[in-house]
Amino acid sequence: MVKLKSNDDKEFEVEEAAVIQSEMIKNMIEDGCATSVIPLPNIDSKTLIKVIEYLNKHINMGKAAETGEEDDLKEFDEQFVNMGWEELFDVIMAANYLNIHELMELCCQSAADRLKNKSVRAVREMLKITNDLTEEEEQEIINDAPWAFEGPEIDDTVN
Amino acid sequence: MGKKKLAFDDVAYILPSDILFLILIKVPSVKSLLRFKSISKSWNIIISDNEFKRSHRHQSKALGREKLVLHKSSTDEFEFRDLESSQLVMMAKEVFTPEKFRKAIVLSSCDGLLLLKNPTVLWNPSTGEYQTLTCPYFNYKGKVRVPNACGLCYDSSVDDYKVILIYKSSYALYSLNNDCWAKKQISLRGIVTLLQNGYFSQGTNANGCVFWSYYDRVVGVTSTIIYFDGKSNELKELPLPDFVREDDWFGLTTLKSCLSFYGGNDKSLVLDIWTMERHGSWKWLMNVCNLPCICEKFIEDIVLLGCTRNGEIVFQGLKTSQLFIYNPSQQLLTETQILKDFSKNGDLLTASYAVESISRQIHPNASASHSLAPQYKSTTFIASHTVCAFIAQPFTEASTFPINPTVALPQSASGPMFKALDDHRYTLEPTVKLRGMPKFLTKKPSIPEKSEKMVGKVKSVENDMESFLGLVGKEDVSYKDWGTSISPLQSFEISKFEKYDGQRIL
Repeated sequence: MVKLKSNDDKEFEVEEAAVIQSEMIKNMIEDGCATSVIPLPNIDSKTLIKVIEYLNKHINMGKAAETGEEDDLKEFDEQFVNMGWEELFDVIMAANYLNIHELMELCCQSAADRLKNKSVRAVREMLKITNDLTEEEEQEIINDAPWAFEGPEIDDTVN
Repeated sequence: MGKKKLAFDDVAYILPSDILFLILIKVPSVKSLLRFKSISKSWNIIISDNEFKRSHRHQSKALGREKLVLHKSSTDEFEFRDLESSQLVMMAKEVFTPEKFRKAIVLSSCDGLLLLKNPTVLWNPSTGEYQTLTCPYFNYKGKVRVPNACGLCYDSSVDDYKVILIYKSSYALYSLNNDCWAKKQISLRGIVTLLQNGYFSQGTNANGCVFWSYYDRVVGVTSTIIYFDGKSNELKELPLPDFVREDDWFGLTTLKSCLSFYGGNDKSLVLDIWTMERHGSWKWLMNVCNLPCICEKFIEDIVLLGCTRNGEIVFQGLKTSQLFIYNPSQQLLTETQILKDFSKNGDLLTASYAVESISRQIHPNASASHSLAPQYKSTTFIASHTVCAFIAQPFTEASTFPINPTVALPQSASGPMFKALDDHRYTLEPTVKLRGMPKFLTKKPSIPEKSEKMVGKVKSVENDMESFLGLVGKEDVSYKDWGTSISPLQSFEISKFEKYDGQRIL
């Protein structure tokens, strides 16, 4: 078992087989630096719980194909990414920090799929982005490809 | 949210630019990305960056985000079909009619670029950018001669696209990065002889090379394969696979980024498909059997266009303007109505493949006028077209090919991402203007009447049809392992375009 500590001082025990999906922790274990608690100063406990949930589910990913659990895993992944933007970004940041490639791919793809076909206004609102382009700059971008700003598929809803 | 923050702070707080980079390269729609440039300064910087465009293209290729391009030459209408599912849902419809451009012919496609002619143009339908190419060689009395073969390929070592136009004894090369042409002699005498006696198919592009199947009009069969090696800029001959029998027809295509060989014998009504493995050996993939007699001679009358993401094979009937989809797990060949609906008056249609790509390569000769807006004429995106006797059941895991997971991701995008955007090294010399319209399609070689029929079926450079011959009938073999054999682009040594010195032997 490996002990992980979140930045709000909560400790979690995780099976080594699960936690080595994190390249960062795997390297630490190999280097003998994981004898006691591994502090994770960038990750809060709420996010760490999500990440551990993912790691535990994907513990036997290599074997999933043989045991026919692929569909099960796919369903889990779909459910897993069903979270708000802020939470999703927290998980992405944690996955990036811990270097968990599969989780990173999953979450980034989910974010990309949600952004696809969204209107500019919707993206700004969803991600709380304030437009810092000048009017001229914005108009120039629109003029470069005006057709990209119109079309039946463009989705102006915020979710 | 209470007080307003600056956008950059907000994005930087929630999401550093390198993470945003990783998310945005996964947005499949180029149209969405072009729109997202106007979200904020940081988004504009990321999406405009060359490293981003390159990574996005690699991602699109690795994930097999291909679309089917249908083209009606009489009106220059193009239709783009999504290959995500067997429904081939329409993505967009466009008319490509820049000034002086009439009756486009699709010569070749590579990644997201299409090489068209009349005149020769490189076009990225995803972004609407295009560039007219004017070859300074092989002009006769001010008119560009019709090449015997042409192609478009990508050299990963220098991140460059190359156009090749082959004539009787020499060929012209164009480098998109350098925006310059070079002329080279064909060194292999055998190829020169071939060029005098037959036709080459439309170029198929795989692993940085362009491949053509060769139709010998004297003997009346497809007899060999030649290819342009984008690494050495040389033309070479590829030995025919030993499984090819006499009287077989064959053609070349690209399936999941691998060069594929398909063909058969019209007597056996079985079409075999092979793909080339990384080390150049051929691997038998599947055969298409239980062929109904849709065409009189099915084997000779179809072109294998490619496959959907799920692995269904897409065929085009050469003369009949039919599009077929073959489901390997159910061994079911069905006809779609797509081409028929698209072309009601019996136009000759060509179809090819393109990856959704936000390519940086195209550099418009004259800025604004060269960005052609795709026109979304039909506001109804057809959800599903009528498919004759098509399989109702959605394709599940069983029939899917594993997509090669080795997606080229930048380790950390933060470094190169914000580098200066002006590293386009092109010199925009005023290009040689064509005097009058190039005379591409006017001259047809005379063909002995006996072989006329067969010749008509061949997808030569001039009529853009592909030829093929066939292979031995094989027993059914599971094709499950297909997809693992995707050969990654080899790391090529840097090859540079050189001025032809008139003497050198390649």
